[in-house]
Amino acid sequence: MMRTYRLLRTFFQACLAEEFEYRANFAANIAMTLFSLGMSVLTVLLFFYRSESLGGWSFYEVLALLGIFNALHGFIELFLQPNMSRLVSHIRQGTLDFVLLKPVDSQFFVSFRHLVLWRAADIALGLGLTGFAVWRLDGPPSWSELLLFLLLLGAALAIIYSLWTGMMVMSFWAVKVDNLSFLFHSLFETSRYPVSVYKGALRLVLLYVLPIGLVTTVPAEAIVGRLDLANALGAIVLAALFLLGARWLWKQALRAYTSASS
Amino acid sequence: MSGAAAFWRKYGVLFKTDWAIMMIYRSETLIWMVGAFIQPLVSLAVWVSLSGSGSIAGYTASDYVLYFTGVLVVDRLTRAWDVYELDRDIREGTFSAKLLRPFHPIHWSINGNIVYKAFFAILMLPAWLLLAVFFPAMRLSVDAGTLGLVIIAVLLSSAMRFVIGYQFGLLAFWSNRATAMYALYEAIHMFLSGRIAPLSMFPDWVAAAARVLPFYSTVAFPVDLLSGRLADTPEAVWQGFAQQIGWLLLLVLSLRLVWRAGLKRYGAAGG
Amino acid sequence: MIHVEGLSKIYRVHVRQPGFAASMRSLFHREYREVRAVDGINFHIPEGQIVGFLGPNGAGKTTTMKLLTGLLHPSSGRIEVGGFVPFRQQNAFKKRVSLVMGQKSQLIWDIPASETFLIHKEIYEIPEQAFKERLDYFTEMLELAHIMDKPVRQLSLGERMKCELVAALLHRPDIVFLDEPTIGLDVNMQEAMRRFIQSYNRDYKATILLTSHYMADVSALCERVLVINDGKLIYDGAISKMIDRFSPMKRITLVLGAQADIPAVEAAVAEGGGRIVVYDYPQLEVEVHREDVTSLSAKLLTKLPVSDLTIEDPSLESVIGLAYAEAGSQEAKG
Repeated sequence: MMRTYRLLRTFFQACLAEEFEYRANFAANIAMTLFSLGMSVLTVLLFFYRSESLGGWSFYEVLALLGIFNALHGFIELFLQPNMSRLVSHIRQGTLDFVLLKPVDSQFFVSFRHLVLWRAADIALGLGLTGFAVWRLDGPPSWSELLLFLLLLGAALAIIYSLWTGMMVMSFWAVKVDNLSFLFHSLFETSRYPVSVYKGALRLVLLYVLPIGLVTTVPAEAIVGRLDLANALGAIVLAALFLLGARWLWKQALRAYTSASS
Repeated sequence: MSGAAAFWRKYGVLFKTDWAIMMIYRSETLIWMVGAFIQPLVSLAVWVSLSGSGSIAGYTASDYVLYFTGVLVVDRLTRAWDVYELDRDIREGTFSAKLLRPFHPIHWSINGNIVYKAFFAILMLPAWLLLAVFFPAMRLSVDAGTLGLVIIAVLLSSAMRFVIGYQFGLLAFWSNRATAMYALYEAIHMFLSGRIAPLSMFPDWVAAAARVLPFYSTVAFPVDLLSGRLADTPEAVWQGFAQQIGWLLLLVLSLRLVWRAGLKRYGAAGG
Repeated sequence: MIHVEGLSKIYRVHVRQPGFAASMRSLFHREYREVRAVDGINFHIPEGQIVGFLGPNGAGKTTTMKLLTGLLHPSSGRIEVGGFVPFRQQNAFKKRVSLVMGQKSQLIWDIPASETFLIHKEIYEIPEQAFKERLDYFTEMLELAHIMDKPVRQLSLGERMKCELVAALLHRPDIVFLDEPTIGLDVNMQEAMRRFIQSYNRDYKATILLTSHYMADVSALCERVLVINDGKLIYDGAISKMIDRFSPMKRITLVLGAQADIPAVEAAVAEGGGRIVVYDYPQLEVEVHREDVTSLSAKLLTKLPVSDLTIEDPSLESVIGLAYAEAGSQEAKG
């Protein structure tokens, strides 16, 4: 645990120094984040300008969900996206061998070596928005709500992380992963609003098949106090299954890689 | 060989080449096209959910279906991506090679737009016809003349968005933030061009601003023409075209200025 | 063909300090420094000449090339290339020049090079007949027949460079700038490139300015070299004269037929005014001023059991090294 923490801290510092090389970028990126969050809030305002509820959710409930969406999006951009493109070039140029030679868990290393730090602002602002919305709804949440929320947010992160690892691993078999991540980004847009917006089969697909709809809706349900127990249990079970699946896939891929390369 | 004939021959060979390259990357191109469908479809789901079985500001659920399918097609056929290519070319110095050739680099970009948009159109229009068989909401009730006007409006909008995007790309001569600035512009465009919602959903003053600025005329105007919303208001049709042409002229003028200033800057600082 | 007078180019660059604290500071405050990439150089290249352009990395070679092709504006001075002022970027000028950079490709990556050639045919408005003739000429000279129709990404570096040259020369420019055209190529391929550049120069009276890190390129192709260091032209003239100018020494290598003891060898060499570089029996290397070469060789032949003797100039690489060092020490003094 200590070692993991120390490694993460080192990765973090290396990326921070890189980031500061480009002065204007840093400030501009933060401004960009604020701006895009502002635009998303404006969009929700527009929806509620003409209506009282969206898929059975009130304005502040939707805002709480939007905050979670923003935080998860930040998580993807901070950890997953930058490492994915590196892994692809590692595999193409054969430099993955250097990673495998390092005395660190290879899945951990390729998942967290490169960070795009200013994206942490997305996470902070997103959670801030969620906090604000929850406070406007009915004051501070109870301890049990908060705990459940954190648990389910963790499950959401695990699901997203596993989906990305699954995509990343495809590059071992020469699948063009850029396409997959582009598709993921597009599909992830569907989780910007409560999954109850979608009708019929589409809703079920988004909830349980491609659990993209689930990742924002379920934690949001927990924090605004409208939790559906089946959804919560489903999310936790799915997260565990996905994590195991991701680990298994990574091992398979490594085996294929090490036996194929001479 | 006359000047004009040589010019078109250049376009001919560029078109053939770009088409061949696109065909090599056809799966990427397809995914790229389909990925852009998600956002309008999400907006559609939200508005259908909001309107329920009633209507909002004159739009019922089936009006929304037609509107957002229109947005999906018009946006795909008019959106420009040159800023990313220009930014990369200028930063990596490959722009130099293009500048040394006796043919303006903008022609490469214009040609790329023609190639990809032709490809999108070839795929999307039959798909629309097919879907209209199954979904009555997607059937059009406009005459052939109006369809002709829609095509002209889409071409004009495509030109407007290209010229805007190209100027953002040229900002790479000054800054390494050109793509971020474009993203900012795109976010505003998404809001005000009608891609999130028909303009009549907005407060009146926002809708009015979007109509004066080059937003409404790039997406919502062709869509409104297509869905027959402007059938009874010919003056709105002419206003829309006047705006498109007026803005296009202004934009071309400013493109020339930015181009000249950019070259000067490039010559001073190097690539 | 190329005329340059008092040419200077000054850039403003951001000074970066290493370390975390410094990068923090650079967030708020930036220091700039003026760099004279090219500093008042003059030269004239007549039609049909191949000139080598030498200098260490960052000496200003590429900047000068970009100035000569009009990609950069000079900060001061006058440039005339083929009767044109390059930075006006007229099409008539663009049709007469070409720039090849060994490190940057202008071929289209995913399709065969022949497609790029077709594009160039239209862009440069090359008539059908002339295009065919030239392509035949290039195909034969460079043995392109089997590589022209493969996608560029499948070509080896050498094959790609050949196609790169064809793309750059199809419009038959009479002024050609070659920036490291042989970089990364194996010896055979370098040789092929050299032969090609030579015959292009001969057949079309093309004026060529060439930079290369490989002295073999320069000594094979160029009767004249320009040496630039720190933005300043430090030498302009024939290669042979350059050796005289920067390296007054010659090197005598002897193979001794029998073991000679060290003091005897040292005495013989010192008497003739030479200096021992290496003595590793049976080989002996001696350095000496060129005017003393004959007398020293005569002495060594009589005093030592010599079985073989060769006299040679120092390698071009080492002369260039001396030239940079000399320019550097003058800089330090001045």
